[in-house]
Amino acid sequence: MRRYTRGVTQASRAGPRLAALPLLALFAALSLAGAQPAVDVELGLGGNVVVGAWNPLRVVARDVPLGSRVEMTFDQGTLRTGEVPFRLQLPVSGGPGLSVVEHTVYVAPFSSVTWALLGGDGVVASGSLLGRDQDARPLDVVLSRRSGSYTAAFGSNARVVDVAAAQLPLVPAAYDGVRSVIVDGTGAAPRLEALAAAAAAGAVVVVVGEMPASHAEVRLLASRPRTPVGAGAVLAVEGSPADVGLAVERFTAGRPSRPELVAAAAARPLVTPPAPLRQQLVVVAAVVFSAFAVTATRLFGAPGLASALLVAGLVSGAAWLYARPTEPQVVGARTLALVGGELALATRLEERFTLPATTIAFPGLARPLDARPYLVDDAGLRLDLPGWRSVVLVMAPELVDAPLAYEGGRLVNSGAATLSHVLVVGLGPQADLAPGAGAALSAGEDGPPHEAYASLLPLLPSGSVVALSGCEVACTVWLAPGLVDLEGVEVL
Amino acid sequence: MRLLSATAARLGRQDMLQGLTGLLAALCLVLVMSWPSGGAVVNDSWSVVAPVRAVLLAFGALSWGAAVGARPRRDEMGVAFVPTPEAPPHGEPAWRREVAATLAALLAMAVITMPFDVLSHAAAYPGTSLAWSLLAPFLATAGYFGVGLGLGRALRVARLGALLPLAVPALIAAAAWLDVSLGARVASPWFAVLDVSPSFAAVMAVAAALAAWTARPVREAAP
Repeated sequence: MRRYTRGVTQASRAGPRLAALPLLALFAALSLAGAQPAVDVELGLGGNVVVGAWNPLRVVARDVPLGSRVEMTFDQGTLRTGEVPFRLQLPVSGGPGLSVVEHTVYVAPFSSVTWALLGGDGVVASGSLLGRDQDARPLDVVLSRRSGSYTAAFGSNARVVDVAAAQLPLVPAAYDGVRSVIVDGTGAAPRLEALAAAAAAGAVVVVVGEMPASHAEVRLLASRPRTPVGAGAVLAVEGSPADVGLAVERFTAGRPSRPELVAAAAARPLVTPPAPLRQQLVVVAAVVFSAFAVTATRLFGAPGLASALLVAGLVSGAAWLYARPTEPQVVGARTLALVGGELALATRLEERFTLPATTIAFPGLARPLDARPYLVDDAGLRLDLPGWRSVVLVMAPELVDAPLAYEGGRLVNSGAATLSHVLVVGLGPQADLAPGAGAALSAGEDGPPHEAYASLLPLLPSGSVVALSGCEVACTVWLAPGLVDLEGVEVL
Repeated sequence: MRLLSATAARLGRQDMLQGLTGLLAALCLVLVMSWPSGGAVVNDSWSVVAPVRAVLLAFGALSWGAAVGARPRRDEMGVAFVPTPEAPPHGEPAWRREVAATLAALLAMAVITMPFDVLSHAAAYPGTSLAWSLLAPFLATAGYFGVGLGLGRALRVARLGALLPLAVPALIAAAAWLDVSLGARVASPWFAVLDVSPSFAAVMAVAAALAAWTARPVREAAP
């Protein structure tokens, strides 16, 4: 476990050591020691950063000034692009005792990370993380006293980390860079919410063997050999650490890569910029107006000039009415929801196309799809965008209720909105599903898939179910990878 | 009504009519070249059309202002010289009326070319307000006309009237150089029109006030 921690001691330890006042000296030294500010910054699960994923950030400050704030700067630039800073600014309450700040932050490939805790009139503590420490491999988190055996079983390419159960975050987005969480009952029992969040976020939670009484909640979670939860699953595995490694490999091999799905979903523009007036029309209008203005002024004296001025005003009004786009910003969105059981992990993509140069503000956890300078503080994300440019924002994944299920050979819509353009990969388009309705599978002719999910289909395994809802405002693409086993299915 | 007639008459004279025609032709050309064509959607035409319009108007105002300002006084002409009605001697009531008519004609040119600015502003949707985009060229026109009056008079007094054709473009270039070196929008209409600039508005307002004061009507001296 690596911790990127720096502490700065500001107060002097020196105290009066007068022989006549030993007790007073002791009190003075104790009071000075109590006022020493100290800051621990931990980025990543147990200090293990996964690049290209959302990571938990935990700042623990002791005895820092009231109203302090922590600032982190991620330089996402390269030699070619130069500095591309992502700045994170979070308030720290400060005061005597501990102040804890927890956040989830997206860590793109970076060249350096620096942080500073600012309070009072200056820097209380600071530190850095070098770019060479970054690793994009997902984590295999082991909650066991025998973590060494899992490290050996998973092989040298895996990134097995030993984390205390209490360190597991409860936010699904914090598990974005986690491939598996292994619980074998030999360590302290993790919280059920943490395991559920990990599974829903796409990790595979492996419960190994029989659980002791202290792990009764975990036992409930693994009541079946395989329980899909959101984008991940909970597996109950009997056997050695090698069997666990094999089960994790098998499960992840059959799942689509979420970063690839997000990239494919954002590949097509989500907005249509306003179409300008045709150039030919503009040319004709400009030439006709110019000729009229010159002719009227030359031939008709004062009335001609008055007419030219009047027509200029009218043409200006008409130009304003017909050439002006209705809104300064065009916003398009699409949500990608990975279904597993009764939950789905939803990732919302939002493209904002701005006509005038502006500062985009988004209140919530989000990041731009491509590397560009931006700022995140407690109010959300802000980034500057020049005129006639767009940015795709990717929200942090969150859990929603899944409406799509496969029960008794029928696709069922348990949600409140109609599921349209339903498609089973390898079988073809299916009938739309009204709220509460179900339909048996049918083999249909493959037409062109809906543009909202056409780019995703090559990434999905056979038997995956895709459906759309809410396309009147912004489409939600429901993806249930491998939901239907096509080999044993009866088709109408 | 008299001002409108005088303005129309001034604008109808060959020099200003050709200037108006040239201005409109230049704006048509710039608009066509900067307007997106084919499959392009990015419309940045305003950032070209507005500065070109403002600079051409300022250039015209400076030229005509300098020409009127450099007009010789009656006592400089000699006894035998009889001025034409189109070129009254400097300082006389007729000269002041010509100053007013020329200034009004220049402002009329600014109004006539306004649709180019409005169209490109509407389509390009820049961050600068339309009000400033329309106001700045008016200020530049009136202000540079006042500067031109002073420039023409100064060159006449210094007996450097031959340098007038060089001094006018040199002044426009110097204004741009000044703004670039100061990193501010103070003198050049090219930069000033792109963003609201109170300092440019103040400078031009002072120069425009000088022009308006010069163009004020005065009573004819009793014969």
